Amino acid sequence: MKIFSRLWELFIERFHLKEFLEHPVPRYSNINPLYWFGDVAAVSFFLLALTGFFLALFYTPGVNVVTIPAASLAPWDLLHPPAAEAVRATESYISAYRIAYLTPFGFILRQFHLWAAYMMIMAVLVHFFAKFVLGSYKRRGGGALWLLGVLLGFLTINQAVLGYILPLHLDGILALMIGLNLFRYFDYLGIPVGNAVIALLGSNYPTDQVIRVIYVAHILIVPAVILLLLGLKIQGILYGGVSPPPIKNAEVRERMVKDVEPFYPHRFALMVGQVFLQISLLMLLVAFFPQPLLEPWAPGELVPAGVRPPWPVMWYYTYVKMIDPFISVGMPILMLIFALVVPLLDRSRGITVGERWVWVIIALVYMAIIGYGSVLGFIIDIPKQVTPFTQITVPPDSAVPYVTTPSPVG
Amino acid sequence: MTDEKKRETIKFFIGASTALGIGMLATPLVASLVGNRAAIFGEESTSGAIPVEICKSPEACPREFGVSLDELRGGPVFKLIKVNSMAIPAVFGLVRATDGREYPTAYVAICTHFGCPLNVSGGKYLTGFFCPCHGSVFAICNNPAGCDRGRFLEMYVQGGPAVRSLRSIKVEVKDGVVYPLTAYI
Amino acid sequence: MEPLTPSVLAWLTAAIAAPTVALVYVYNGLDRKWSAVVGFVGVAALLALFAYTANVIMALYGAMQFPPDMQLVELGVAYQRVAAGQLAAVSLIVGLLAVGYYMEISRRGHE
Repeated sequence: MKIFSRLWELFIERFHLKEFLEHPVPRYSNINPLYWFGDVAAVSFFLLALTGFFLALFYTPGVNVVTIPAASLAPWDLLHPPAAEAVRATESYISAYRIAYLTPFGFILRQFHLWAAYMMIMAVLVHFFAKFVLGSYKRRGGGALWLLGVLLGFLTINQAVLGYILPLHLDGILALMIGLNLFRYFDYLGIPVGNAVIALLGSNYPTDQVIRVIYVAHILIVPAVILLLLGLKIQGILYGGVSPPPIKNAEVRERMVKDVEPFYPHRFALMVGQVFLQISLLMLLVAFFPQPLLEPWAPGELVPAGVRPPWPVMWYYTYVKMIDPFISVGMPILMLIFALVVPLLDRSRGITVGERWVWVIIALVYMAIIGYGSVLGFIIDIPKQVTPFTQITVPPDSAVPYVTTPSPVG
Repeated sequence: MTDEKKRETIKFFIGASTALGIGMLATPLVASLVGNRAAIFGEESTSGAIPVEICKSPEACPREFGVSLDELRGGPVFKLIKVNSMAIPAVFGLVRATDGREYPTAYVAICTHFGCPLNVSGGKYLTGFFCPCHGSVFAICNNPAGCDRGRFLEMYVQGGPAVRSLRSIKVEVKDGVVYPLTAYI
Repeated sequence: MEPLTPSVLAWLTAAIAAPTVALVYVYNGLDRKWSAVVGFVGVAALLALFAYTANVIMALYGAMQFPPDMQLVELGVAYQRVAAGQLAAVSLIVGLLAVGYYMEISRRGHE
């Protein structure tokens, strides 16, 4: 046993690791939950990358239609019992089906990826709220970290939607079609979104190419950007330190900042614990609350009523349904822009929650907008009548009139 | 001095972002109040719809793009037309006009509200579309003289949140087969 | 020989995991040496159980065809949920031990 510790000491010494491994980190950020959720999101990201690697090995993107017997669909996946003996599904759906039901440990793999994604989004939201409350953007290098964080949050939501689309179950295809066409409301304001979608993806209806682009974006491009920004963010934290504790008394605050411990083994042990506790929670969710794969759909099939968007974008969906789309479609862009300029607007010098009450209220409003919309979207069916607003907003050249009158045939 | 400059810059940024926000909210409102429905019929503008040429003429059209009239007499037919990189979900159907004659038509089965795939309504003849996502109902104008809410053969919005008529596909009949020529997607 | 059913395996897992987790949690506050001993014994037992479950799963999926028999799929899902529960218990124990270790060295350094 002694020889191992000697060897370890030698290793640390010869590789000059002592200074790096034992750099001091403050204690208060280990204890205060407001500082935990960035780590949770980052660890979720690496768990997602790990499981995503194996899922990518088994998954095939494609919209070619395959016919499968209705009896081979799991009852918990179906919104409505299938009417016919055979069901048409896309190639992507079949490969997701194979992963979930025909591959050993594939079920665990898929469920773990799904729950880790949910955990990452929740952690990102809580982290955003916590940093808003703490006013972390005011410390050294904090503004840059804030910008990186808002961009990372945006990319995280994007990843959630892209991942939701990939299995091409009914809800995924609807999400894809809505995504390809919803922003065409900007077409009517003179911004050629429709043309841009077709130029970038080749089509505004699911094709092999569209799915391939989404696949590559989901497994390669967006994660690469996230990884890059995450690296910059960690560098920024090493540069500026964690944000100071929200304590009014300067003396106490100073003492808390000075109360440090070495990264290794202290913080390192805690991080190992965090990773394992997180894996444990995710595995428990997999064991007790497995999520359905949802039902297949192929172009030309009847679409059953009662489909819903993925929960991370449910709030947006609710507001676009409630408020006239001409006004509400651009809402997340406004929220994103506002979030980006928060460090410009917040010039108060306060540190504690009591001193920063204005910004705490703004953070609460942010969370309330997202929370209210999500809950509303799940619990009530929003009326779908034509509002006066909607009637007014028909642009003069919106309707495409029948271009030529075809000749009658009978 | 520098502090003054900083303050000016911050003021500029705050002002610019506020103006941008208000502008984004106000543009559609103003646009919607200025324009009115009557203008729809004034010109053949296709703003918001992208014309895609499927075939130059029925002669140049591959047979698998066309749907025979015999098949259409059994009810509307769904066809996924692939042009270049594009897939166009087309629903072909016969419309029975108030003058008693049948007109072959085709529409792009994507809802103009959010872009959901549409379900066809009607039995033997094509009478309209229904959106399963948010309940938009599209109905055909089958009066050759035109209807209150649309021109002849326009698939206008009868109810629900959609704001504009369904995008149509120009068709032509040759040798008993209906061929799609130009789609407005 | 028929393999154990998923519910029997689930009860076995719970019977090992629940007391181990409770003991690790309690000993974390008293004597970390004992919590480590109890934890590692529990982890070893759970991993043995997981190895058994994994064997059953591999054998089951060896017989899988496309399109599959729905009953076989349901059995496979049940076994995999049990396997996920076993891995959850193992990670929970390891995580508790690591956090317990941190709390002890942090307290020691602080006094």
